[in-house]
Parts: sequence; structure tokens; C-alpha cells
Amino acid sequence: MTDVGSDATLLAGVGAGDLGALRELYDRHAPWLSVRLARRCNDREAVADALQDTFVAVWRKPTGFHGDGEVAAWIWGIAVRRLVSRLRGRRDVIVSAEPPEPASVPAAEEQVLVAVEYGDVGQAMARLSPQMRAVIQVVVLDGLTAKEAARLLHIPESTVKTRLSRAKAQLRATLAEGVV
Amino acid sequence: MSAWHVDDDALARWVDGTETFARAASSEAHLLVCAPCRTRVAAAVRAQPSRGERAELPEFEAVWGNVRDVIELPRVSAFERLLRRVGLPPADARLVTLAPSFRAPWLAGILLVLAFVVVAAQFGPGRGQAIFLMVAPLLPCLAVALSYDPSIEPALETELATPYPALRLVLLRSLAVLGIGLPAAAAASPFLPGNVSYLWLLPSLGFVGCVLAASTWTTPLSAAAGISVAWFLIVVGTALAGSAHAVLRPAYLGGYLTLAAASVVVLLARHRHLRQPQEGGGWV
Repeated sequence: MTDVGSDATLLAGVGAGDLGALRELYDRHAPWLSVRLARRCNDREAVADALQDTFVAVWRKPTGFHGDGEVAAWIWGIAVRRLVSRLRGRRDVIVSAEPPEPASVPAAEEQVLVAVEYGDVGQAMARLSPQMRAVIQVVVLDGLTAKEAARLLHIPESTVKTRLSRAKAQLRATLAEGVV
Repeated sequence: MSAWHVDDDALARWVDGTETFARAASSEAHLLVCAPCRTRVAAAVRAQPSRGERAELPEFEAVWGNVRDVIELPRVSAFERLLRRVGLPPADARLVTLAPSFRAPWLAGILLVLAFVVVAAQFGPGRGQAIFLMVAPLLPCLAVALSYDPSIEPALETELATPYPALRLVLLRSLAVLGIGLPAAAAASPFLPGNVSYLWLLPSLGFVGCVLAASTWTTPLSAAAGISVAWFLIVVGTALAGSAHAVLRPAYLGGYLTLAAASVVVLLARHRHLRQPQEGGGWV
């Protein structure tokens, strides 16, 4: 990749109306954004629309990034919210919280690596029901509000909050008792 | 930059969508802060020979094309958004916004004419009133005529070529023009010496109707010109006979209203004859 500057510099270029800077940002961020969005939603059109909305939003309001933290995190915040609004009122789209299980049982060596890398938390997470994991994912990891999460998962806001606190309690308990 | 990076296998599994929840969350958190790993994702996504397994991934060039299309479109103006908010369909809102009365030169023209009238009126109450009564009622109908004569209004040619009811188009544009022209003329009348009532709005209403109805036979401009000449003669005649204000006598007001009503009837009956511009200029 030719380095034409940091993301923040490119964003400043976008603010000055430089379409080339937006293109460079797009090339850098569209791939991982779309993979991450596609992990949330199995509808290709919705992912494409959310991706499009995201970069239109970046073009129109690059000043939304205040210069603190990562540009990537800021763009992701836009993208996941665009996905939520694109999915508003659509019930035909399955929001995939549950990735398919690996076809083969991981080798012992790999399992050890997993344990080292992620430790008990990963195991505890794996024990959560898919519904609770979905809530953890969109609220804790994706940073959506309970209201946005409710819209994305097609469940009431109160259910989001209940599941979130139950999931946290379960994680805490699992970690406390220790996982073999 | 951290020394830790997502390893190749984990990255591939994440891109494929086969990664487990906890590891995917870990990779995603890392990707937010690690540009090199993001670049590796980009390379992995592009290197995928077929997208068959990951049908969820969009076509990046197509999406980029859409992004460009959207950002290169002119933004919808605040006024047009307001019209849409009050319930006008987008197509109608666009037509109203395109009406020439909302363009600065047009507005300036109307205001200039009114300013001249007000200044002229200062030279004497009687004459001033006559000048105002001569010009003000004609202003709206001239504005309407100019706003949909294609020889003057280039935007209209493309509009009339679209499959859009001509009557609806003409009425919408007239309303838009009147929405600016009438208040402007009305705002000028208090600056006139003497007591000119707002009754002059009635003949102007009649004239607008007349122009629209007459344009089912002839061009709106010739209709407006004919009306202007007739009105000039009437006002000059009444002014010579006594006071120009006599044109607003109650007996005449009924006549103006009848003129407006009759015009509406004629327009509705003959709206199929509304003039359509011919290709390469001129009227059908």
C-alpha cells in the first residue's frame, strides 16, 4: 500500500472536498468493515447499503471525527448504526449472532493456543446462549445503545437490558467457578 | 502499534465467517487499532478467488460507484425539503423549487418593478395610484406567463417532455410564482400614498386565470400581453374619467371574480389543449 498519510490526514482531505482521499479511506476500510458487517447480517444488499451510507456520511460530515482515538473505530460506529437504520422494519433479514461452528474439531495444539490467547473468558462466552451472546456482541463489542440493539435484533429494549444483565451475571459466575 | 497481530489462520477464518464468537470479538477489537492487520484483511478479501462462500460481501467497486453517485448529486435544498415535509411528493417539490420565481434574478426583477412603482407614486397621489393599479394587478399574470413560456423558461422544456400532467405542472408553477409575486406586491402597497385597498388582488386573480385559460388556445405570453393592453386601456380610461380607483368599484369586483371562475372552468374543460412545446422550440 502506498502510504499517502494517516487516516486522520485523509479525513482532513475529505473535509477539504478531496474525493481521492475518500477513495483511499474506502480502499483501506471497506474490506474489513464489510466483513464485520457481514458477520452481523446475512443480507448482502443490506451490507452494501450500509457500506454506501457509511462513506456518504464520512464525506458529508468528516468533522464528526474529533481527532481523538482511531478513525477506524469512528467509521465502525457509523457503519453499525447505518446497518441498524437500513434494517429498520425488515424482519426477513437474519442477524447472525451465531457463526457457524468450525467443521472439524480443532487440533489439541490449537486448543492450547486458544486457551492461552483467550483464557477462561472465551470459554465462558462459548457457554452463553446464542441470544445472550447476540446482545453482548451488539452492546458490549459493537457499542450500540440498548435501543439500537433492540432495533437490530428485533426484540424489545427491555429484553435487551434483561439479557445483557443476565449474560454479565452468567459470565461472572462462570469465571468465578472456573472453567475446566 | 502493538506487537501482537491476528495470525494468518485466525484472519482467514474471520474473513470467511467461520471464526468462533470470542476469537472473532478479539480480532475485531484488534482490527480497530491496527492498520497493518486491516490491510491484511483487505488483501485477503481481494485475494478470495470466488465470493461464493461469502455471498454477504458486497462488490466494492459497485458500492463505491453508488457512493460517488450520491455525493455528486446536488443536495436537496432546504426549501425543497420543507415542501416535502408538508406533504408534497418529491417530483412536485422539485418542480415548485425550479419555478423561476425562486431564482434570485426573478425575485430581484419583481422587487425592482415594485420599487419603481412606489417611487413613481411619490410624484402625486392620483397619478401614483393610477400607476400602481395599472402595474400591480398585471404583475402576477405576467409572472405566471413568463414562468411557463418555453421560449423564455428553458427549464420547462425538459419538464414538459416528461410524462407529467401538463395541467398539474402549470397550476403548481403558477401557485409557486404567485406565492412569491403576490406577497411582494402586497407588501409594496402600504408604501403608496393614498388608500389603495388590497382589492386589487381580485383583478389580478382574474388575470392569472385568464392567462391560464387562454393558453389552451395561444401562448401564455401573447395572452398576458393582450390582457395587459386591455387593462392599461381600462385604467387609463377610468383615470381620465375621474379616479383610477374606480376600477375597484364593487360593481366591477364581481366581474373580476366571475372572470377568475370562468377561467378555471375553461381551463379544466380544455386542459388537454394546454400547449406542449415542440421539439426544437415552438408550440404544438
